[in-house]
Amino acid sequence: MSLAAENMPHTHGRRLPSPAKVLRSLFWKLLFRGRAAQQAGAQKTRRQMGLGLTLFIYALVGLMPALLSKFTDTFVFACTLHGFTLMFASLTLASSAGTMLFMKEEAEILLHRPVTPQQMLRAKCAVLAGFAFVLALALNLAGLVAGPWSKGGTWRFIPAHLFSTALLMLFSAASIVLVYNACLKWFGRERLDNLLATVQSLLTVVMILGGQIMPRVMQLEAFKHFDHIEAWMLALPPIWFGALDALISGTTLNPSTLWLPAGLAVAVTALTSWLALEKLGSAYGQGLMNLNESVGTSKERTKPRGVWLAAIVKLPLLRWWLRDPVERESFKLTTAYLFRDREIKLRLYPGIAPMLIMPLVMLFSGGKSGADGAMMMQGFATCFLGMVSLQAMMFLGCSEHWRAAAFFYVAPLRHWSPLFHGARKAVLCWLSFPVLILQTALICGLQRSWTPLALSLPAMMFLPTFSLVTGLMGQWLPFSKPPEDVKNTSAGCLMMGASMVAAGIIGGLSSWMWHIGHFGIFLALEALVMFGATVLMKYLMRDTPWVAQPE
Amino acid sequence: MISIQGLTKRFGAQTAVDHLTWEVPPGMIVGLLGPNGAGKTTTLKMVTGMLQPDEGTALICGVNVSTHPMEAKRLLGFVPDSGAVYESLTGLEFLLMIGALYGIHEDEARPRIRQFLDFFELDEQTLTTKLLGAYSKGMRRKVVITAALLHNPKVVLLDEPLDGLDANAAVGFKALLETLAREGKTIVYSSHVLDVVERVCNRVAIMAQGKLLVEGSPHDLQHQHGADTLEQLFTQLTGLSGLEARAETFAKNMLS
Repeated sequence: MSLAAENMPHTHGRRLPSPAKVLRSLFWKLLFRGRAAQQAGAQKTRRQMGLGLTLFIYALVGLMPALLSKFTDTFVFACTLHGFTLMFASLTLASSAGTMLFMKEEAEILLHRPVTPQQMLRAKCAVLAGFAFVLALALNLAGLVAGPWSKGGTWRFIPAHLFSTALLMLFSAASIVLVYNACLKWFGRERLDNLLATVQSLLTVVMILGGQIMPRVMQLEAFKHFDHIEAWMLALPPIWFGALDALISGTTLNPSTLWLPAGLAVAVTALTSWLALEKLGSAYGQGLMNLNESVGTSKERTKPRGVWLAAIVKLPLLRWWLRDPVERESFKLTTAYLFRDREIKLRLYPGIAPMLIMPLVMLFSGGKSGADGAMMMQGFATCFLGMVSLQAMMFLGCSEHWRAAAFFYVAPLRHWSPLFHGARKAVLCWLSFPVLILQTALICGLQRSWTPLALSLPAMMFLPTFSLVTGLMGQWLPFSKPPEDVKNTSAGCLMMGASMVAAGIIGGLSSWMWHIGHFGIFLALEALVMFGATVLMKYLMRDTPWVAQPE
Repeated sequence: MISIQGLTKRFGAQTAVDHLTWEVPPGMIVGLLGPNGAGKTTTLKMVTGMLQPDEGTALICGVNVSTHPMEAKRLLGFVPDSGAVYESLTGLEFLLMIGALYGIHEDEARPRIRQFLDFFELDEQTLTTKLLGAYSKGMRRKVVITAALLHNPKVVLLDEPLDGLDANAAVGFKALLETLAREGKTIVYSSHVLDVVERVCNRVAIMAQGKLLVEGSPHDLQHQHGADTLEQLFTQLTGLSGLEARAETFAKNMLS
């Protein structure tokens, strides 16, 4: 008997769970509870309610395509359902996969135990696919019931669609694992962090835009009277999986045209799974180790960091704006975290993406109601950007490195407000103003007019004042609370609501004043009001005492 | 026992561990010392199979870590310096999960966990109700040590194990290590705290720049190098001599 076998404990005939099963159970728990939690009970209840609400919303969203069943062929109906599933369930999956796949400390917890990196990866992929399948079931619930009534449909639609949906979720999970794993292997940790943040932000944007576009697509006549598959359609995964449904359950289309896409569904899923779990699976352990910076990466950075930042704060305008040394350092700290910190990037950018995309959605919706409507919507949209700073400040108050805030508490600072103003100015400088400028340039380009430039001026004046609102809710220090504390408190929601109403009023007023020819007077009045509001808010903030570090 | 032959690890242009050859006999507590960046943690991570060496081999009781990682991992227990745990599990859930990975059935794991619980004076209610994220640093460290010893490994690798432990727990843990060594277990104790290493370890190995400089009993090494204390030996070998004079100059400049 080998030494290792000798060291195995005696099981006395009891059946032991396999490491794969143990790992799957672990990752399910982590998925539902989150990576880090402080209180068992409250967190658990909140998470269960959150999941229940998500499933309920998905089931409601699923009603939309289900209404189509009577008017379309089984194949088209199944493709629609798979399109919705891919967009909502898979994208939700993609946003939660990064956290599960790349937990920084995991290498030190598991890699020295008798489990292989491939076992870990397979277990994670299984859990992700299972989670996505649960979401997909909620989304497809109405579709499953309505499917047999589609043109050419039979009762076989139900098992067929369940099978193809499970396969679609496996394909999605394997694709996500493949992309993230390949990125970690070839591009390194820092680029992976950027990729994760970008992917999650894009997903939010795609979901919002998808919600606007899908209902319009479904109303197209060509969609309702579909009769053949064009070559370009073979590039779309929903077509592959829809073909599987149609082949099993029956369709009015010629079945011979469905064999190729159905075959693609099976073949591509198998290939993606093999690539993700077998081909790149062995590199997963090394990737996990690379996540831990102390181990070192293959490419050593030789250039010193933060040179550009040090140069920027010396520019005349910023030197004046950040003349308080504490504000300046807080600005630099916040800027560094906005661009470098993995956790901040992963929380902040996907979190503010809806704030950035909603104004554009408003603009395009407003464009259909004529020039006045577009102008009104631009007013709203630019002022809506005020929400970006509120949301960003809420995120920037929390960090994995919250314990480092002890330095603020022990430093001989008279008040917390310079730290707040430094961070607020970083948000304005790197998020709010650039987005406003980009948005205005986009509208100017689309409308081929300089009018939107003038209409962005009220927002330009309004944003700095708006960014002060977070400071009214009490002492605010950058990165001083654990990440679990990011939540919309009732006071926060109230502030957010009130700010949105104020943004709406200013946006509406600005476009109306432009319309009646008193825009100049409006700007002067707004400048006065904003100046007064700024002075008042700063005064109120100074009155909020500096409290010692909480326990 | 641990047998390391020509172990090498490079990170880009930097060689973290440079052709390290080292034997750790059974029944010994060997202190692994070295300044920051000496390659101690990288060595331990290669021995545990967490990192693949670029060259060389590491054997745990004759089992090659690179070619038979699962068998080798079953033979060892590792306490990493980070003390990382899954913070959204309770202490008990975490330990049962770790036990299951080593093939320990829950019925067998529970009494073993209870023994550690008693030894470390951990509160059972805390272990079953609170999530690890809410534990103090010391309590978390006790859970990590329990997780490393739960399967009764033949080789124990410890990276700064006392970090966060209170004085009583630290004294108890040191006594436990001595007992484990007497039972024939091989223990490698990596630390920066020289006086603890001097008190606990039978032998010490000092590393610098990825290389093993010396290895032997503290007394013999001090005698060979004409040093009065382990601290003196350490600073002498790692090229950090004259520290007191440097500190004095620095303090004078700082105060002027």
